[in-house]
Amino acid sequence: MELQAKVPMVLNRVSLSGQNELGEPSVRLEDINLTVTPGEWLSIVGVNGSGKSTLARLLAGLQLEHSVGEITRGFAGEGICPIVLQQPRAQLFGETPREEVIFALEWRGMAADQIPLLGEQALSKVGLTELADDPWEKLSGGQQQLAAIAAATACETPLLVLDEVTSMLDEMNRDIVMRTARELHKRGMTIIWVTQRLDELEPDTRVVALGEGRVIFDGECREFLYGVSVPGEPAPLSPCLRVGLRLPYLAAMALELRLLGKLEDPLPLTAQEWRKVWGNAGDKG
Amino acid sequence: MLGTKVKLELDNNPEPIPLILNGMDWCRLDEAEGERVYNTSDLRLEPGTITLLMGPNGAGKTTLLEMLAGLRPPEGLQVTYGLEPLWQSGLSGRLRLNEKALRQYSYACQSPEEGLFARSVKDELNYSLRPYNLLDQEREERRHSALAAVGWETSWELRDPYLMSGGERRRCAIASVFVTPAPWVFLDEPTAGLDGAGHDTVAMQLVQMKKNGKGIVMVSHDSDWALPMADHVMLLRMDGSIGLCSREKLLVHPEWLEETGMKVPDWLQMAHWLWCNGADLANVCNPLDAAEAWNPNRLAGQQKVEQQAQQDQQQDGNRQVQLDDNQQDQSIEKLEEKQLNEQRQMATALVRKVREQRFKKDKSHRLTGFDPRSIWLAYVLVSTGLFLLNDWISIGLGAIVVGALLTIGRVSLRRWRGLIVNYAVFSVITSVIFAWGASGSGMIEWEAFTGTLFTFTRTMLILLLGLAIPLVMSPLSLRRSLEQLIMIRGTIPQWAQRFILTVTLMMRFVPVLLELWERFTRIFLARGKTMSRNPVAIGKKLRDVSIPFLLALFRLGDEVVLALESRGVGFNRNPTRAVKLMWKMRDYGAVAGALALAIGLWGLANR
Repeated sequence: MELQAKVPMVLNRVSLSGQNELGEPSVRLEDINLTVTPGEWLSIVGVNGSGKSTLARLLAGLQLEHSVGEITRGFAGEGICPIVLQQPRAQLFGETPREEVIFALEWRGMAADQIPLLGEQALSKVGLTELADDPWEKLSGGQQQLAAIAAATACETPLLVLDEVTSMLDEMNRDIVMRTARELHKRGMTIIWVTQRLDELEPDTRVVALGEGRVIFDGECREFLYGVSVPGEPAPLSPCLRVGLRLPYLAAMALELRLLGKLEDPLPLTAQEWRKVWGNAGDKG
Repeated sequence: MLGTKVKLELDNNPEPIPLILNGMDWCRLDEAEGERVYNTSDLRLEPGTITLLMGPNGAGKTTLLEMLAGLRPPEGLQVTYGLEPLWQSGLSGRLRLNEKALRQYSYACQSPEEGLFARSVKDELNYSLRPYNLLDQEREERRHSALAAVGWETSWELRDPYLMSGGERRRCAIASVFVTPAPWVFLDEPTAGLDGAGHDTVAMQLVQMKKNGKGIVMVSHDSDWALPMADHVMLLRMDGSIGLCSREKLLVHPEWLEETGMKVPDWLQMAHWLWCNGADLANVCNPLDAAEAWNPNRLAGQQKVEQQAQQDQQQDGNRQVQLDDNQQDQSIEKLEEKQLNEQRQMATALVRKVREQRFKKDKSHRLTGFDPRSIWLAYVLVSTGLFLLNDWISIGLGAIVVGALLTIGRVSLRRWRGLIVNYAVFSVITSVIFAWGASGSGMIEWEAFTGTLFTFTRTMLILLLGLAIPLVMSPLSLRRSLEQLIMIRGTIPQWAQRFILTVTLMMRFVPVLLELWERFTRIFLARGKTMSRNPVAIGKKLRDVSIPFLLALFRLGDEVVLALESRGVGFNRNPTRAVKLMWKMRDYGAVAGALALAIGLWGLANR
């Protein structure tokens, strides 16, 4: 078991075809090679229909029966890993956060006398202790997603998949959900974060970008937004644009600044880095 | 030839009319600080402008858009398109939607592609055009230009939306919003899920429509996409009041977003810094222009910051000065974090307050302290008693008993209002038809009528009590109580467990389904713009609402199954039961009371 915990999850030439609404076969993932290392934070991005949700489900251990290729689950174990989806209303079965967490623990087969304590812990991990017995209508969208995360992570689990969980939230609720996910990550959980909002990407984490069911990019976030520039060659095309996503304001500005010769690699990414660049440039001027 | 051309031009430039809101607290933020004057009347949105509606989650951005479109009861908000009020009082004094006003807008709700139901793009576009009574040729012109607006050739008209990808369906839905000649366009998160090219297409089209004199109101969380083209920003606060300002002023005062309970996005902070350091307001919104204007020159920056600090009476000037200073980076980080945390707490408190106010209205019921099993047993006993009633007098007494029980328990059946009304109407109509058929002479036989109605009424009483159960008990605790009721020596048969879980989950999703149905009814009203209630119209409505509803249901079902699987439901055959229900004295009391009532009702029936 100890050894197993360090073995990465590997997808080797995995393809998955599904059916469209008419029952015709359609390819949803094609020839995916991917390694997920235990303890990492992996962001998956791509436009709608690029296959990112399908990949997320596959990584969570769902819908494996339709896939071809070789999947070694490694540290993630053979069972189904918790997955949190976009819409809170489709994945909450209780009427309050506590009921939800207890429902999850019961079906995971935990011993009955441990459940109240485990439930309490799961709720406090996401900061819902105070709201544990409030009905959904009294919770914000972000808090509902936190309850779903609490229910998903109520048992010790090596891997948590979050599939566009912030797409219906405002910036503040999104911050709360992301911070919670980061805390879980700090405790050693592997996080798969699927998103379409590029401002959610952390600077030095790994990004996998999908396009039409294929992995188009697999590397560091900075490289994903800015590409790797080679001295003496024209400026590289941003992999982000290559997969058809819209560059956020700050990234677009950084690229233009590099083009104008006003900034050099490494281009800034976080607010803090931008401030530093700004200060240095000011000193020169 | 000339005639048609003139007509087309007229339609491409719909008569510009303002959109006027009355009955909502609002103020102009543009004027000097401290002198905000709140108004409740005459918030005017001018044609030929783009207004971006911003606000925290839960402030009701979508609700406000839907009120502008008449898809929700006005609740004191008077919306007027030019001279046409959206709501008019009819002959009976009740408020009715004004179809003329409905035709003044075109509305793209969130994920509008879910509302598509026709089998070709052409039909879909024609459906949106139907309320406008246009000539065939004109319709064709409009369709073709709407397709061009989303980057499609006319050959796409014949394609079937169901065979398209998600992104293409979205384009089709957007085209069906752009196709109408309505002078106002409302968009709710138009770019969510669109790729980069889609963002550009929609932006170009919106700017073009604005040039043509249309007015646009939109909600978008892609603020760096939406704000650059907005003329005005409406900041919607949690208390429902509105602050109105120009885009330029928001760039100068990003802190207004924080006042509204939102976070200032990083990009907006950057645009603000650029302005603070001498860049032109017209340039800072576009990242390419902003890069051009990027000229970190401390002196210029300092000057402007000082100016602003004076203006704002040092309110947030301090912060800008500090932001320029990278030596103090660390302490700033902390300061910002502290500010953010305070902000967060404030916002949470605000959300709470508003929510609590909203919830004060419906008081909670009194049955929470009881064991769900005792409520269940009591229900079975009382309904048996009700079922034994056999004449109108005892039914009357039974009705009083049911009313008293609901009142004592403080159970409000408002959620089921529609169902109850429908059932009542159905009972009366069925009784009439039955009585008419029974007489055989074309006359209505009174006794047959009352006889049938009696059965319906008795069932109705039992139904009313039964409807209260899901309101006072959460489906999961209902499941728990049912399972413990039928448990034999600590185990429950597999089939029973499955059946009970299915039934209780279905109950859990009833409100979600009702919500879904209402959503598609609203889309139907926004596109069809008809208020008629004749049977043909109702039949059409049923068809146009139920197709997207069923498709949405399948998608929802998929997600529910996934979520259940990931919780382990279905794999684990014997889940543990963490909560053992315990009978208390009051539970015995409740059952005894119900038994006494049932006997009383039985006695009443056999008096």
